[in-house]
Amino acid sequence: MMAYIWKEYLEQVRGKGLWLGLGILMLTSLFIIAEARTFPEELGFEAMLLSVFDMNVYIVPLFALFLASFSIFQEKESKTEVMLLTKKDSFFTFLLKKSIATQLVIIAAFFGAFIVLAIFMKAFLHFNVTSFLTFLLVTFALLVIFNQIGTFLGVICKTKMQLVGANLLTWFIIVFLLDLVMLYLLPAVSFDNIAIFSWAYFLDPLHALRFFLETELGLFGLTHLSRLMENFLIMEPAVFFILNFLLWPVVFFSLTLLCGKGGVSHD
Amino acid sequence: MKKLLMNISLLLSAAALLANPQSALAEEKSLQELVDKTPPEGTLELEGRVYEGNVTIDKPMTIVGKEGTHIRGDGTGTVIEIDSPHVTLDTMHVSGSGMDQSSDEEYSGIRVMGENAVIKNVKVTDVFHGVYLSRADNSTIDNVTIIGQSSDSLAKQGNGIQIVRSNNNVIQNTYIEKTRDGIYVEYSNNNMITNNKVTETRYGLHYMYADYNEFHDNEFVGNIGGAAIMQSDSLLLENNSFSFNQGSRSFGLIIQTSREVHVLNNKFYQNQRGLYLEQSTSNTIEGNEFFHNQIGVELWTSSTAHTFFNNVFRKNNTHVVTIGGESFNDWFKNGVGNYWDDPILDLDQDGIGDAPFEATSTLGNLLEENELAYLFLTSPAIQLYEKANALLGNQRIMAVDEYPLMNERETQPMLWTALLLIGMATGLYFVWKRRKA
Repeated sequence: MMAYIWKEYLEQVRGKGLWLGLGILMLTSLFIIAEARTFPEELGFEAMLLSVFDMNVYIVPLFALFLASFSIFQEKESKTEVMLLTKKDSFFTFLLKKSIATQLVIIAAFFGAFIVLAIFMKAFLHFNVTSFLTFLLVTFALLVIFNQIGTFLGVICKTKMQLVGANLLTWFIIVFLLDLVMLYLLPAVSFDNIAIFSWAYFLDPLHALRFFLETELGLFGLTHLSRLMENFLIMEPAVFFILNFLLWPVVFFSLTLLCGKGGVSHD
Repeated sequence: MKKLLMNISLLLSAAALLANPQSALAEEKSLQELVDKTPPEGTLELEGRVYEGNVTIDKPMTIVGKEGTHIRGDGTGTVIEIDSPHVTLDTMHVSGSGMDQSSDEEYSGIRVMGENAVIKNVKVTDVFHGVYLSRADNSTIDNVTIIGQSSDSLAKQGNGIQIVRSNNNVIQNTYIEKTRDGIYVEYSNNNMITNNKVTETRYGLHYMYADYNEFHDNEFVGNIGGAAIMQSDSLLLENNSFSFNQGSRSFGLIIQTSREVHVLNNKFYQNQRGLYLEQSTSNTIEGNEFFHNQIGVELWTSSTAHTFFNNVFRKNNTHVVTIGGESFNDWFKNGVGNYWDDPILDLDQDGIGDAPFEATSTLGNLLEENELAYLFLTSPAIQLYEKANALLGNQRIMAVDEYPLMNERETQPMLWTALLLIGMATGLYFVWKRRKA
């Protein structure tokens, strides 16, 4: 296992993608921190964290998809996957070890960036440890989900061009298209079908994670809701958060296992 | 020796009794007896200990406590009831009113039913209403802290300060949290509400049928709604701050069925809706800052003839939304419009944009059709939705500002950010060089 993690670490550190991702993340976050200095003192830190998350919604999924997918794609391209599989590992063991290694390295790198950013937050804002840890938890979940989707894409794509296209398309679908479809469907939502819409809304990890973060940071009150909203919130935000955190990585790990087995040729 | 000590102790007790007879007897008498024994316009000084209530004050007098003075009600009615004019309560903690909502009377920590009362340096906890002014004119509530029971059960409790049919009062320097409404005012005119902070309530301020009141320098943070002005005319709201009022139906300030309200130089930060106007007319919205709200100003068609000028709209997801068709309002006055945080040309450098600014959006229809649309206001897809509808010609004009202002941008954060960027670029350069080497 350690060999997988060490190999993953070296590959990611030597590549440009991770640094580019971290650089963009730091830069955009610093802009938000700078702006947050003008926020009201009370809850200003929490509002800043939510703004950083809103920015992360664009950056983190994109880089997680690219980094994770290219990581496993390289194993296929450089034939290391075949070597590992013919040695002793089954595809399941290989995928499990590879997934853990990818998750650990990418998450550690992003967390490192946030720890550095925390220094700026502490210096210029009213830092709240609990709020920051909640933010890290949500970012952790975001990374786990999109790393696993990336791993899936890396296994099913046959060429680099295909992989780039698949990554961009997946990102566009999750970040933009799903919401756009929901916006157009919104006028058709009524008390009769609100539960279905609620499931559709909260099974989108970006919605579930943001809603959980917003409520945990005290920026969205769950009291005095309208009847429609009460019907809409069929479960606690924390339950939806856990559901997304468990469901999507497991689903995409299983899909990868399914597609990977069929796609790998053994000489 | 023993005798001498006894004599000294007796002498000391007698001296204490002569110096402060009421304090010395306080332990033996109930609070009501102490009040009854105090002459009209006299002063009752309380010790720094717990006194059992409830108590009724029916003559002009002053009750002064000290640190640790706690008047604890028996949980069945109002703790301190003031039935007389010219009563002052100073420095004490009041707690333990009845919480029964089906009783004839709504209980409170302090209920004032006489004129010219002064309540100052008081903390009120564990009560239905905190301080209740009922037909009490010319009273002052100063430096009072009211803590409700829980923000999860707002409906089951009363208001922080309830003012009913009371005029010319001053409410200042209070702190209120976790009550139903922070300050509730009904049928009460010419009150001055200044420098108060209200948080974690339903409405920080709730106004019903109350005219000619003024609010200055108040802070409404993290409530369901910052302030609700309903059926009230000719009010002035100046230098208040409405921030972090978030929820599915939240707003910084709602003005409903009200006229001639002047909203001047207030700050609306991080609300779901900064200012919400419904069935109102002829209000002036001047010099306010709408910053980082999901919707800066939400106007319903029923709300017309308002004048918006000299306001700053910055980084709101949507600056203005008009719901329910065209709304007739002026977005400038005497050649002064608003600052819109959008690129506008000013070639003649007169501080006014060269072309009128039009705030357009399709969100009005969407929000009108389904309130769940509010959930998508922060979605990355919302811009795409707006663009798509703009291309299809579905967008509607929400506001037309003939004289958009060219505000001076804040230079300090920009400078700070530029310095950070330079620092980061230098760092990256060195990392790059090191790796190449």
